[in-house]
Amino acid sequence: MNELPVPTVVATELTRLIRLLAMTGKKAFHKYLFQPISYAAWEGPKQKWSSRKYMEKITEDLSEISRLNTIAPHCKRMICQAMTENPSALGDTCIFFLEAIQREPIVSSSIESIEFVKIIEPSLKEFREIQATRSEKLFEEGIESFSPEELQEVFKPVKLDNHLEKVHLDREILTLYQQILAASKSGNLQRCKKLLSTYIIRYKDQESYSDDQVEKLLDAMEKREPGFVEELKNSMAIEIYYQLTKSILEKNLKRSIIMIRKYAHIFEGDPSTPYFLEIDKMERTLYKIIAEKGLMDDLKKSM
Amino acid sequence: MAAANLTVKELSQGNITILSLNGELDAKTAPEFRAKLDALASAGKVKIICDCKELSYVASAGIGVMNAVQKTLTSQSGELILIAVKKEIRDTMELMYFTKKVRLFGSIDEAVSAFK
Repeated sequence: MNELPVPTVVATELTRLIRLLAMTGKKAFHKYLFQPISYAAWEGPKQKWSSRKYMEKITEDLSEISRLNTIAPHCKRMICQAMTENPSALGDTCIFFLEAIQREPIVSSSIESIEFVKIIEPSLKEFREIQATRSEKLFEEGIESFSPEELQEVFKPVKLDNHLEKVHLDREILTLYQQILAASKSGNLQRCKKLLSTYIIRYKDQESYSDDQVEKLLDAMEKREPGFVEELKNSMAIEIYYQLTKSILEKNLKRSIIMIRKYAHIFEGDPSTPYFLEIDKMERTLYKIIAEKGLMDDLKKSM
Repeated sequence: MAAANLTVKELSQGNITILSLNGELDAKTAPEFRAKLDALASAGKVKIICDCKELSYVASAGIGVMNAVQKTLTSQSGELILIAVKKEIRDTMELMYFTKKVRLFGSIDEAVSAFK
């Protein structure tokens, strides 16, 4: 029986989880990534090439249509080799393979890709649950120690009093939008998805954001590839949650709050969005502490 | 409609629907509330008043639902109006810039008059 290809959104989320795992230390990395791969017998023997060399070779092959069917088996060998090297090599090669899965349909439907995801997905999902609880706790602790001034700063809207700054931002938005149109015209839907995701996350709360034009573009993309909008939405939610968790781990609470507000602004309470409940919990914590500290009136004044 | 911690009672006054909210409007309760509002809009009941006197918490998920429904209703010449919104709820709505997109009144009578 033929198995279904690895969905892009699954590969995207696993990539983000491996990046988070790398930030939490060697012990967790060993438990949630190394051990499952080792147990699945994707380890050694030591190959002729280093994992780095494999990566270079596979990158070349990715531009050759005739070699695309060899990518997944090579990625498996590369990961087996990385298992004999060090945690960084393992993390890099896993992410490399997952990115190839996102990029090429032939790779996502290969036996190796499907097997690889089956190996790493359960343990990474377990890590995701543990990490979510940890992030909530860290967020609460961090926000507790925020000063009123710091909170006010976070809730300030982007003010573009300086004409030059506004011109610069408008130009940046326009450039990105032009890139999206170019990718759309050339039929590079993956690139288009990435650029749109960046554009929406970065600028949806800005004045210069072209809401109508983005809607038109999304409609056109959906007609060309049914499911495009859903996949874009899911990958944006994963990206925002990843940025949020990363900023919590880096103790950058200002960025955490910004990401919570961006999530709310973009998804407008759509419960089918990934991480809907996790972000809701953090938001509740945020408002609870604002109320406890009696900061609401000051915050509103700063807006 | 009964959700985990939000109840919504529905009344009609002419072509205006009045929903009395009691409890919390967060990620858990927002989907059912959304379904309720969508059903009203689909049935052509596009003039809606939400009585928020007993609403004790609103999260961005809830505000998002109201915002999305407001867009639908206004496109059908209707509107969502809120009444008796507590200070804490109004504060959260202000932080989310939602008070710029919805009209708020003190009582049902005021809101009904505003529809005329």
